[in-house]
Amino acid sequence: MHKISTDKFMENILSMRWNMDLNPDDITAMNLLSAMLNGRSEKYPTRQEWSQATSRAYGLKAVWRLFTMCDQVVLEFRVRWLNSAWMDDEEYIPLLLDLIDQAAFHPVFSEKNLEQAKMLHKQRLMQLRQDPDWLALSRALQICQKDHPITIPASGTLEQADGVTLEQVKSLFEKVTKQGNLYLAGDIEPEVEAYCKEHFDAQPSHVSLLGVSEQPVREEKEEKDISQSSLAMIYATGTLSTDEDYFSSFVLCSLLGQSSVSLLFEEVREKHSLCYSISTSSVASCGVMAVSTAAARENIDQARELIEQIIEQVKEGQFEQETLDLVKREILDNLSSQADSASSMIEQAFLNEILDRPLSVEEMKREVAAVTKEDIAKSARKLKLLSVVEILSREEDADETAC
Amino acid sequence: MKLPVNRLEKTLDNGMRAVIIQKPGYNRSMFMLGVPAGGMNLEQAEEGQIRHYPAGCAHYLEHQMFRLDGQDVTFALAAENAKTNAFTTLQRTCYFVWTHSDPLPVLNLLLKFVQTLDVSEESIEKERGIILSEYDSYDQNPESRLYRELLEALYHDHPAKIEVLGSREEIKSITKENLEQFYAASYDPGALVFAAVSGQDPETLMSKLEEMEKAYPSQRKGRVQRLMPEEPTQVRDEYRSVPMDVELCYAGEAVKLPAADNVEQSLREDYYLSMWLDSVFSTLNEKTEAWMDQGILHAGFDSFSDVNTEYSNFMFVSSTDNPDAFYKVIDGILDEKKPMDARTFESLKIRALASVLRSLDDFEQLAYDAICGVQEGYDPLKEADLVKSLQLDDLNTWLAKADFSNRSKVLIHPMEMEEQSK
Repeated sequence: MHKISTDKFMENILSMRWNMDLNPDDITAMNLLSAMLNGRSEKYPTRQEWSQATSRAYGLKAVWRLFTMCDQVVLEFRVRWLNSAWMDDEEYIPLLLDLIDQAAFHPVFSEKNLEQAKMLHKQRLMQLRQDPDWLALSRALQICQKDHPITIPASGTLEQADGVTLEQVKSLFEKVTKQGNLYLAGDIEPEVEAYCKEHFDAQPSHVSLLGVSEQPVREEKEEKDISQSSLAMIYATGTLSTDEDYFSSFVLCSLLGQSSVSLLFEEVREKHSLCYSISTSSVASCGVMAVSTAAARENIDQARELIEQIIEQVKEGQFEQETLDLVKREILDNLSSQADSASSMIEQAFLNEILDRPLSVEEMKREVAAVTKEDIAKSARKLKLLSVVEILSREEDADETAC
Repeated sequence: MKLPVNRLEKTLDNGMRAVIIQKPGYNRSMFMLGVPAGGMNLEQAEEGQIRHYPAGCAHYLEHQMFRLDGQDVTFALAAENAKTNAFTTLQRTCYFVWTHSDPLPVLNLLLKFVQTLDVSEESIEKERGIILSEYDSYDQNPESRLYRELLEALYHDHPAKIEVLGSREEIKSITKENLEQFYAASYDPGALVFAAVSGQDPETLMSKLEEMEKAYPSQRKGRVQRLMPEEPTQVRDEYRSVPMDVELCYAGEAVKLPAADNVEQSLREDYYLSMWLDSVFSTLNEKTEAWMDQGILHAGFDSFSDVNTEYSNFMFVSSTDNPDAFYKVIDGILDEKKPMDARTFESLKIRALASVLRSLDDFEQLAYDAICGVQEGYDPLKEADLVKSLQLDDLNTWLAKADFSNRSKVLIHPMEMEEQSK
């Protein structure tokens, strides 16, 4: 168990995370499991009863959620509650313990709840599919490799949902909730800590990482009746979270598209006014970087050219040292911000544990500070384009515009 | 109720009002400047003269303000280990910066770039494409489109219906002169409100702020007043149907209410309304589960209320398999106006109090609430006391008298649906 003790936050957090192998046949069932675990329990079997109980506990939030990490799927049980030091309510702690226990260990597995979870899950997927930015990025990840976990959609699929059975869901719950990584952050009540020690089997687990490999670039385009077009480009970085040059790759990603002074932002948005947003994101556990933007259809080709041009320039070291220095300063300031966020401290503790790469904030700051311009260029030269997806707004019908 | 924050307030020599909130133990400092002009500032009384502005002016100016001495101020802030952002609402525009390093250079930069106008024809043209792209990103999102259509359906002439960004045509038409006039009218230092949330000593920060603000004397003698047209009680459109390239239907129903008479009333009524909405349109209502099972409500269904002294409304939204059934459910809720029971009231009151306490860890929320409090005339740090003072009888009395008859319905639907109905 990893405990972060501080009394400066109003809320305390418990986060228990279990992981198992990511299996494309089970991913939708895992999503349904996560949905079924939320919002009810044996003692509070309807959503209304659960809501009433959590409202009474000063708006306690107990949530199950799912995310993937390379070839692992992680199921997280997270509880946020107001520090009892603020409550003059002797019923609060017993209620708190009851709700944590109910939410964690007393799920309601019934055919009715499974059917409802399927319905809600399908609705959610349909909503996501309507977002051209999400659609472009998820399709680009799906086609960027053959037979790599990164192509497995973390949200599952519509097609699989109907075939999921109650036995499958129950079996997955039994299988995944064995040993896991437990985190507590805040001014944790002794009763809560004692409960966690007794009931959660906290044995840190680790994951091994699996990088993507180079392949011929795959491209897709789709048209929709939308106001502006979305572009997603996936690159292999050639670097994983545990590699020696990880921090060079980390700073590169920020320099390209995460920093407030990033090169892509300055070039594509500020200089050419082609878009409102452009950014990069990283899946460091698989060695992948994504570039995402949205622009008018007639500007998409130019946006793509500029992205590729900027990356080529960085490979040649053609960027200002001053810009790199600013990006590094920003990262250092972000690292300082961890101490002001219980969630951030938990995320860092989890990464350190699961990657078996214990790094303090000070160590990370040193690593970032040491990254040079040549390190960045070297990391950029490892970038290989894997896939490109464009979700394009339909061109105006020529007949409608002819005079 | 004694809260874990220290607060210092002052009106500076140039008329700027300042609120500094200390959060002991935090590395972070956040500074926010609030301008009392937003999307609704289309017509203003400025020292005896009435001026009209195109919609989207406040937001366009917000985009322009990140220039200082001909350069993007983001770089200067990054050099001080700081980041910046801004937002424009219907009523105000706020600029903020934050850092975990020495806050004084960052404070200086914020004061400088907001209180210095640096625009050119070139900078304005450059920004036009960016804002049009921002407009398109909201326009193609069914949820934000639903929200906008509901406001347009509710109001005839009231600027509460105005898209803060303006329309595409208005964005294309805004001129340098519009922005310069708007800035001169609305950004006088004496009209601005400053809020800081920081782990640093508040007395030191206030002293430094006073020193820095000496460089920005007030230029205006009189107050600028936002003018509101007369607005009928009835809604503009009772029903609107909007085709989009979506797979689901998105349904919304909104209710127009009279604006509150004063701030105290608006704060109280906002709580009554949001608590009542939670009691009838959340999982606290036993019927909600059945509505979800029937596909009338999808996960993510929600309600919003906005009660203030300039306009008031509330709305219900959800994606749905059955729009007709959705409207029937909402009309049923509005017609019944079911009084709240004691158990539900106590649950919601506890939850509301908890929400106030939680917000004390949210720097941006604390700063924004401080600015709203000064501009509207209330103390956000007394909100916990307000919640504690709420009474069930008062809520139900307010509910019984409230008029929910002025309603607008909007449906965002797949394009195939329109073709079928044709």
